[in-house]
Amino acid sequence: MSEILSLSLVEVAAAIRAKKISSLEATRACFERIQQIQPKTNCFIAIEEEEALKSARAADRLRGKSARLGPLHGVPLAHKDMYYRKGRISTGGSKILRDYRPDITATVVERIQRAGAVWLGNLNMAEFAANPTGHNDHFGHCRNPWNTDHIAGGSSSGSGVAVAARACYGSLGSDTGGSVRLPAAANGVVGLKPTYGRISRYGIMPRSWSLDTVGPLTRTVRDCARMMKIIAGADANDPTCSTEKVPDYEKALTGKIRGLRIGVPLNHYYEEASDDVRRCMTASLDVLKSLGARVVELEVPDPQRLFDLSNAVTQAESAAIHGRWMRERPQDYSLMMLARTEPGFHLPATVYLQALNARPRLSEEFIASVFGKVDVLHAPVIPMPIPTIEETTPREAGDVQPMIRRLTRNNRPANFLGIPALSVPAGFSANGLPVAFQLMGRPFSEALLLQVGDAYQRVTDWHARAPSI
Amino acid sequence: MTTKMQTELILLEATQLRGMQLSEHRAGEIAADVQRVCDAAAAIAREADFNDEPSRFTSALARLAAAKARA
Repeated sequence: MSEILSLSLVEVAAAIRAKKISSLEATRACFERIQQIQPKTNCFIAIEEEEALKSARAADRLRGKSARLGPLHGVPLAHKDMYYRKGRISTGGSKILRDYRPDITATVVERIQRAGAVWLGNLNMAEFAANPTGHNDHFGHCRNPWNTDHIAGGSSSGSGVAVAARACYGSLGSDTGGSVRLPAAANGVVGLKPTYGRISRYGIMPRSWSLDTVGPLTRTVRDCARMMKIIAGADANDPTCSTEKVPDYEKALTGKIRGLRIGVPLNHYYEEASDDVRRCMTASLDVLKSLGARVVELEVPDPQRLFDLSNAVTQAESAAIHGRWMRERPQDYSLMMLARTEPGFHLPATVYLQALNARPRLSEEFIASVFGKVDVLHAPVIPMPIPTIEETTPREAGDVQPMIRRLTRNNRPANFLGIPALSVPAGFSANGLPVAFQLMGRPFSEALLLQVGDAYQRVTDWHARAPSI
Repeated sequence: MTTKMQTELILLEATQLRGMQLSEHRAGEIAADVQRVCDAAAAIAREADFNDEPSRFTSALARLAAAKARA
């Protein structure tokens, strides 16, 4: 593997800017890597080599003209195949949208492109962003680079795999019930689900309007901070997008967390945790304590209730989005997608609205109860070792909900509450697959979560390990 | 509501509202899932204030962020 690929996003951006390497060299290195890993992992749906090389050459030419360069100038990225570019195919990982060409460009895509990034291609994902494993019956399953028999995690499966396997320097995913954090955790990379409304959803394929968030997957927390600064902030095209000021996330990375109170939940989050996961969680807390943080154990308001209410919202909204197609062409959906959406057709409208209506109050209660006592909450992302594709392949519709429940139980509550959550690699389980913790915080506390995650990465090297695929 | 009634209701909704066929077995599975969600919503609705409304969610997030900034 080329040495260029061992650089982080921030490092490669600096190297390109300083003319130590060219964007063309970095982009070519990525394509060489993609050729190696694509047959084994299937992490790309579409590879755009010719155009990417052209963009890279253009980026290199600009450097010579002392033009003002963006913070991602010449950096090769690839994104989940649900970010619209006007006139370009965006499949959403589905058969139905296989030839769909949207007539708008996503706000985040415009921002990433304005920052100078090179677009390598579109990454594999769960069909319509609706499963946590990375199964895809239409484009082929995405496979974990640490062991290709195992799931990549979803729904941003290709994002997790491509970043972990050093095929790109960062990626945009989306998180409605864990879809950034799960593949980040399963592949040993960083993933941030931001506060609801922190980043514009304009021009991304909808999964569940009230819960959808855009989030980056990167190798390091610092890389994530760089991407966040570029993509976060108000957007007149998305009425749910917040006008809250966007901080300089990289500036927040001081390495200092002395006196910080880290909460460890006594209920729910560890109930199905394996010994391996518990060991990694304890070790990560020991690291944070060694940096001066204080660990506080506490009961949190019932996350299971939040999980069930988030299901009411996702199922009802997804059924509304897919109702016509599911009636007219059910054969074009996978069993997983159909089974997951079907209950939404039978939920009374009042149940959906009661769930939405409870959100402000439950968020206030949770935040007062938890973040009145601690600064961040620490918990496993996935409580069990990463399962195999075989173990998570449903044989019939009734298998789907229990499997999804097991994988996403620690993730969905944050989506319902609207709070940010950062997934950070924290070791490996006995099966050789990564383990990760997540840090949750108050609304718009992304800078604090990144600060803690970065402090942890300064004294650990889990994020620096790459799969030998 | 009994499980049998729930299953029958799901079957009726599927055929009459959506024009789709479901097996009784699958209708039973969906009924159990719908019941779990309905129970959670009913429980939370008992705690709701008459003046609550869904659109307050985003302003609540901003207020909760501001509360920390003031602290």
